[in-house]
Amino acid sequence: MRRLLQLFILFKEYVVLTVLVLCSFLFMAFSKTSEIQPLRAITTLIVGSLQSTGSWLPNPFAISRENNALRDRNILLTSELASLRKAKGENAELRNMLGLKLQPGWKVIAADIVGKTTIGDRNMLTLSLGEANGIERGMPVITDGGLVGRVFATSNGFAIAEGLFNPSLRIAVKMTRTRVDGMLAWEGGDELVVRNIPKALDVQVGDLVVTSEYSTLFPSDVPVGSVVRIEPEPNSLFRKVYLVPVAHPLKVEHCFVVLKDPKIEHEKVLLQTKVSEELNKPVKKVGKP
Amino acid sequence: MILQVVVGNFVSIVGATPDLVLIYLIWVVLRRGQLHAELVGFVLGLFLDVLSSGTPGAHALSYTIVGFLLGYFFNEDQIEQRLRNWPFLLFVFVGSVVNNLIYYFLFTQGTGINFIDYATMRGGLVTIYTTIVAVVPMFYQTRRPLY
Repeated sequence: MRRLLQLFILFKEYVVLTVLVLCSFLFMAFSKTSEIQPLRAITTLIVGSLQSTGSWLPNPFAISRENNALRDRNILLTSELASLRKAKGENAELRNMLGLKLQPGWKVIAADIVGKTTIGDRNMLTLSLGEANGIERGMPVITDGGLVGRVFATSNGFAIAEGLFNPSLRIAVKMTRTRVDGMLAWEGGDELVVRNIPKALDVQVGDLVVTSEYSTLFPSDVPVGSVVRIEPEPNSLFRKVYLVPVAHPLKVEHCFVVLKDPKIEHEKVLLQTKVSEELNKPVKKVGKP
Repeated sequence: MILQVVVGNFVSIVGATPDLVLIYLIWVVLRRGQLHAELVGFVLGLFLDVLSSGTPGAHALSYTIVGFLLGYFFNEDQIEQRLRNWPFLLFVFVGSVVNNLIYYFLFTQGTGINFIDYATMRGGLVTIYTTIVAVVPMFYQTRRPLY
């Protein structure tokens, strides 16, 4: 025992390193489980409180960025408003003619962004609302412009949302003009990318990209970004479509959390379909062999 | 740690923030040695992992290894000289390179991001920025009386 203790003291740095590395790998292995959620709730509360305390401090860079973005947006919206007014009338008339029902509105709740954090290239936003306000993990975060990200950790009074610039996020999207579907990802930098778009399909610079009906994480038709460049993938029939997000996480100051969880709705519908299929199955007759 | 979380975003340039946790870790390496650095690196890394939406354990692993590797250069007789002069910046630079290589390797796994490109571009920017910011604590050390 004494010899063992002496050995430990002699090689303590190596022993500690081995234990800590093993612990790190164990954490990585259990990263998908919900075991770390209570820890995240505590850190969310601490960070939210800290950032909320310091949120009165003005950030001149962020204000300047936001002002520029708002000015650009104002000009764009003014020009769009006129055409939209006309389109609204036409749309209502056409809907009446077709007998279509309006898509039910998503229930949203407004939230202030009390802090922004960048850890290891992951942009995160601390929201002023938490579980007490009905915020849950996985809920989409949007602005009037479009999609910002989704909530990944909550405490009673705060929530932390991850932005679109996140390597683990995959979103089913479509081009509004041509209804071309694709899978959105982030490969670094300030742009998002939609991969595996066949070269034969019509995609142009300036096309608006929105969330698709295939997405189980986000409501459909929420603007995500606009196409800025298209690059062919070497030695393949596909090309990559790069887009800039309409709501940049670093420029956002206020946001909305979509309270309706589309995934739950999706799973509910699937479950209902399964139940009705089971009920409609013909009953097997039990007869004599 | 608090500075990294609260102030980090205020000083972000092109989306890159200085790694204040790493600067503190290097200070621990030079002041306390290998064992302390390993433990401090693991705890701070784990806190960052829990806070971020990334893989839990990635920061903890990279900071622990940085603490272990740079801990070899701990010299009790040269603590003040190293903290007050350019070796501190050199330690921060090397520590940042090692940390970025390990972290970005884990970060880019299973994504379409090219590790080499990302570690070079992004990691390079973070390393340079962190090294420049490390001048502040170095000067602070310089102005403190030795005894």
